[in-house]
Amino acid sequence: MSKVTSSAREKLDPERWLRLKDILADALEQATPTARTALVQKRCANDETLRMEAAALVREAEVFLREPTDSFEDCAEQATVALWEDETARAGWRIGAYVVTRELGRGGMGTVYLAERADGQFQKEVAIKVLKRGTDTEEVLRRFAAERHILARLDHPNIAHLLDAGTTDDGLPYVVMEHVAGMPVNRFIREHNLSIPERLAIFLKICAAVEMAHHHHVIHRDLKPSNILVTAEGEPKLLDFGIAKLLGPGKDCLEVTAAGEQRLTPNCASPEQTDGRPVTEASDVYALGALLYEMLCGQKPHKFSSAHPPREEIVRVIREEEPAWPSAVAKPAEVAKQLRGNLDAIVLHALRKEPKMRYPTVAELAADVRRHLAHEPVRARRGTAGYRARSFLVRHRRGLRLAAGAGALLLFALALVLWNRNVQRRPAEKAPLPKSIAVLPFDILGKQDDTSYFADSIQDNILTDLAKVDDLKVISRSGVAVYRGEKKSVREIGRELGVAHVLEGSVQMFGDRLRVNAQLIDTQTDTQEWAEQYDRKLEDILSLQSELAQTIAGQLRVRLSSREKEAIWQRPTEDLQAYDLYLRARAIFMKTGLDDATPLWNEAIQLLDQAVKRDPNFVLAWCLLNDVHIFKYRFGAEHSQADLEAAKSTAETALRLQPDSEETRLAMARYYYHGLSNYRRTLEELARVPQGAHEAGFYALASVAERRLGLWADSVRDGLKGIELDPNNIGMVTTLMQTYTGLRHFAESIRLADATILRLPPKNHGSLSMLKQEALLGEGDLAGAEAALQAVKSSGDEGKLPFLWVLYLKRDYAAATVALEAATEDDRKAPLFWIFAGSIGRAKGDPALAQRSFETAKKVTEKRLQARPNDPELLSSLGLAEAALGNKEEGLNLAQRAFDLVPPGVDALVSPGCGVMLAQVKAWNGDRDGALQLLARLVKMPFGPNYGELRYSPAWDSLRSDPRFDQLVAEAKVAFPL
Amino acid sequence: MGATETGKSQVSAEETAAELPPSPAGADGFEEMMPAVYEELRRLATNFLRGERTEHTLQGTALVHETYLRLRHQPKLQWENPAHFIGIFARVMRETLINHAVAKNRLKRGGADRFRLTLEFYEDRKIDVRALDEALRELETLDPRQGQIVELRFFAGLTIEEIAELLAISPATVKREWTTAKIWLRRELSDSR
Repeated sequence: MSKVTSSAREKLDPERWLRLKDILADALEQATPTARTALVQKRCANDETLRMEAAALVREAEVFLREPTDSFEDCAEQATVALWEDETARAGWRIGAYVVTRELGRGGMGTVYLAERADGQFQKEVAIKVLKRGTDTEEVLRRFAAERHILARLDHPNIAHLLDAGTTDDGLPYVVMEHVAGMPVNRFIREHNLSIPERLAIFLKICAAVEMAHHHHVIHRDLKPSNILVTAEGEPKLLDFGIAKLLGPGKDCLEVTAAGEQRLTPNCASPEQTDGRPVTEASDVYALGALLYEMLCGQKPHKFSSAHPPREEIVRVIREEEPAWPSAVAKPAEVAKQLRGNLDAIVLHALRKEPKMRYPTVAELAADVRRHLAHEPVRARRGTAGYRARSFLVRHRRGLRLAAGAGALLLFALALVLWNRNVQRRPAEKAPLPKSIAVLPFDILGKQDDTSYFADSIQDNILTDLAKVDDLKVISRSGVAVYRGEKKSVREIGRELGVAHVLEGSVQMFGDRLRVNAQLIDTQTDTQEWAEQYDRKLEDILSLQSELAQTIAGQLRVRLSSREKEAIWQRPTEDLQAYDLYLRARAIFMKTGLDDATPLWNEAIQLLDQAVKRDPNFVLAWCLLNDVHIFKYRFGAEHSQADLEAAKSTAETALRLQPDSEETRLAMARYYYHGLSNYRRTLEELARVPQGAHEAGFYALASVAERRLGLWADSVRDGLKGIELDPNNIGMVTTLMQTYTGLRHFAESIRLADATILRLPPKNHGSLSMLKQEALLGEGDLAGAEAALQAVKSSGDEGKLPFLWVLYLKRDYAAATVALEAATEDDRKAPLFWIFAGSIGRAKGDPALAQRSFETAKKVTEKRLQARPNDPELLSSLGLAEAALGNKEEGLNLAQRAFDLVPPGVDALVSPGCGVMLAQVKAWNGDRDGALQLLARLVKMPFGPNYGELRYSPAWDSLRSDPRFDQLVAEAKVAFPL
Repeated sequence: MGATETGKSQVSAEETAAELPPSPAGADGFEEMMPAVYEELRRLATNFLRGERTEHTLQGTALVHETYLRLRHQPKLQWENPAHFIGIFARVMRETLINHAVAKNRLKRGGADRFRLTLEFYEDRKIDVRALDEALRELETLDPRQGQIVELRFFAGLTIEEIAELLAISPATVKREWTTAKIWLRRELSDSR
């Protein structure tokens, strides 16, 4: 072994090792990686081989230093302690009524001995834990006297019974417990290679024991694998119940080090334990979560920089860092697969940072584990209708005759996502709230030059300031933007937006001076309630905005709390030039959407970079910088790592400057959502936003993140809230429509589209009609869908892909061919265009067209994959193209890989789509059973294949003769519960 | 390095290594006799570490001395200083542990439980003690003193300070040696997987 590998490297001789060792040791004394590299460079200036070897060792050392535990050090310090013990000295030692037979082991608190009754009254062996010197003996004994009757009542087969306690002759406190012959639960699992259900069975017994103790109001406080032994029969026994408390307040999860100082046990302490809040049953729930985590995946939930991290690090990690999903760290893949979904959710639910967010009791935790074992929906994932359906499916898997279904539909769902537009528009009408306001765009008087963005910002900032007032509903920026230049009556606007007041105004700039007129109007009566004119210097713009906001709040008779007042008066920056740069960047950014706009984004970035250079504490500029970078990363062609990193560091900077503001948390949340596709972290960031009024953007982001996680009901709820605040935001309306359609609530989606279309001018109808068309297709209404697409076309939006799709479903190949030929250059850049073209060629029996199109699809997709090698949608497309070209295995592998990349538990939005493409590949490969089985699973998921697709698509013709397919089609009509 | 650089109370690692052949497991009868020898060595080593060099201890050494020499076919062994003695003890601990790891549960009595506990400790930390032993032997050929430091620290559990005192070198040096050795060993171990 080692011989082979060392000869593979440069052969080391003693002299060479001596040099290397010296360099390594010196390098490690440097504080930073850069300094280490520099030192290695310098010391190996003339010897490249030596430099490489040294660098490799330094790298190894750096990895080593980052690991949570230094096992070598641990072994050196503790492993051989027993070897040095004079065993004979302890044997025969009399402790109370017992005589020590031998030592069993030692831990943080002291040493454990095996002992027997001295009087031979009972043969029973006991374990005696003798606490280390230094514990406050008297206090321990006092507490013990107070609690022993409670502890003695903990009579449970899975709890090691507490028998006695006292002080040894040399004054050390001890407790006597039932002796358990067994090994720590984590080792037991490893050595017996237990299956996941077997591990869960043991875990449930542990839960039962803890639950029983909780009934007696005893909290364990120190649950960890070494405190849970499993006997040869597989029975777990919990040791040390309530002992931590006997040792004194704040001593739970503490380890006493050799030096006698106490430290937290990094892996069992709950967040509340680390910061000294009261320990409750929820702390045991947390510890059980950590235990289950380790039992399932063999790893601790948290990683630390070293074996004995400083207390601050433990506190920070426990309080801030989220454990990876157990399935993400488990090996082998077979085990990981079993953890994905339910068990991930259960463990992480128990490990929630806030005690209130966890399972309220151990019983609930255990119940969820049992539900998982029974294939019933688990609570930790509650609220996801699709999930319930899936779970039902598994439960009845044997009874169900497999129905089969759709394929290319997935493509369409995806196409629609891609073609969605982020335009502005407005929805349902609401009764006006008593305290509600819309701040309309201010008219710009005088010359409309490139300084208009500055005037625009006044309206925007008043609006933003007012939005900080909890008791006031304020329509967001995009909600009012559509009224710019629109000559609607205030009454009408009030009705459409559901507000009681509007603020109108005008701005005029002359040189360095500014004149602002503003009036507040009651929308019910169309009467002016207040008006004012301000003449100010340009540099006073910031305080003018705050003044206006506060005056208006006063006019609306809203009482401002001191926090709200402070928020209104807080200036984004003192540097007017930085502010100007920021406003210009924002104006540019607002012009862009979800299409690649790299030149504009770069311009905005450049302006913002200057802004934060002038004022490094300019939080809003940092936040906007994050937004621009992250959009450029996600939607731009470059997709460069540099933008991702910039987004991260800007969001971090903003957060550091202002940890408790909505803007900074939103920035961080956007980074997680768009940058890392980490939807859980997105929601967690949002959860940290302080209570109170939220911006529409808050709900918009929450809604899409919840959707990815399959939290459908939450997603719809937040989508509706966002629309209430920003009724004209087309992006939010279409997102919600899409969610409704994915859940097969087609009528809801269509109703929302119609209501919004009615209120908005035709130029905004395109994307609404597009989404409406999607809902109609889902219902199976091909004619309706086609009509909706005509509306898209008349609004000036081409919508080529959905058109092709509908013509394909209608099997109108002549029209489809015409549409294909009429495609624009832009259309031809999309991989889906070529997939559709190929599918049409296949369906109409034009192998040349099919061949040509799929080859192009392959080329176009491969090109895009260069920047995004792990994009599941691109991989699925490539898989389809390969399969269509006859490369069956290649196609299957690609589509399978795509589906595996986004299992439903990772991305409930994209996963079913990738699944349908995989089914399509299987069908094309001639694997009818495989396709049918997969479709049967997918049809149980929101965003899976829908009725219209299954019913009409030529893609599934090869499956239509199978009765299972009919069943699938029928199933695809059923809406998911909300 | 080695003997030249350290004080005379130090038994150089080269010497120790020469006297104690790298032990393949299971020299004849060695294992059976080991617990008794071990107990005695342990007691003596403890006393040396505590600085209690009484007549009694020296008498004790005779027995161990003899047994050990006989078992290991060594012609002669001198230990007039603690370093040497503890060095031997560390080596014995190491060998016994390795023997024990090779044949689990072979040692049923006496020191058996202690070794079991120690081996479990390694196992829990995912350290393959046999691979480590092998890697350590390689290190010993490169740098005998460094090898000895690892043996004293890892297998005998001596602290940095104790080792420094025993070998009459500065704690900082011991620390450097130990740290770099850990990295080297770690790489050997991960490479060999």
